Amino acid sequence: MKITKQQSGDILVVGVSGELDHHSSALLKSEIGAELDKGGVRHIILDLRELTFMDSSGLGVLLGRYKELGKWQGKMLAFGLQPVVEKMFRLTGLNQLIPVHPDLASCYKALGV
Amino acid sequence: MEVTNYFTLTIPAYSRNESFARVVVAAFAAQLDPTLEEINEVKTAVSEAVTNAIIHGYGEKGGEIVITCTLRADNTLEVIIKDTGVGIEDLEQAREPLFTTRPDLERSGMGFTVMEEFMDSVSVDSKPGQGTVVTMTKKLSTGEQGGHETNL
Repeated sequence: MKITKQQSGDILVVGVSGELDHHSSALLKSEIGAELDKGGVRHIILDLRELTFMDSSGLGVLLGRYKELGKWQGKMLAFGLQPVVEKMFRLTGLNQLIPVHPDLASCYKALGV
Repeated sequence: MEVTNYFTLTIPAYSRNESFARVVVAAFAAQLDPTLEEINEVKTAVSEAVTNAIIHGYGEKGGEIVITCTLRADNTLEVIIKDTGVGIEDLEQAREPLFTTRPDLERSGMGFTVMEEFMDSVSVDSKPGQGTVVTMTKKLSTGEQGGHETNL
């Protein structure tokens, strides 16, 4: 799994590529955690265009970061889901908490940027 | 129903083997030329069961996981994932959506729900102190039914 991070204002865009499972979820947790610890991040946009697999362990780590953002009313949004990942979002109801948008521009728009 | 192919694989309960386990099962199932969606569903269910064994069965302290796969003449895939870890005290509770014994690890409690959603049948046999056996089946379509692209 590869992770990219890009901050614009108080929005952190996190790109996740490869497979997100129990083994790789620790890395995603620490990478996002490091950015949140610095302060200055309010919202997170997940770029999942290159994410080819996610199981419920991935779901757990995304939920954990979602809850962290909730401490300061931050939002988490996602875009670019492949069908297999989109199915997990839908099946588990994650899309009710992390809205899925068609592209990055509409994520920014939803955040009022 | 006649068995047409099978394998048994024993792996250490390391988290780095989660992807290995699901890819091996997917590669085995791919001989029927099922749809990409079916392959992804099998991979996800296997990932859930193997992860449960690693985290809950063995508490991330090692042990072995035995994976047995069987293909039958009616194109049914059976996957059995066995550990000899701590077992499950309350099976009914363990299968409830969102239930987890490890919220500290940010477990979502959706593992069994995902397995049940993606496979045709899921049965769990567990005895505290002796381990857990998860048996899942799924009837797969074949390439003869339309020609599929499969990407493992």
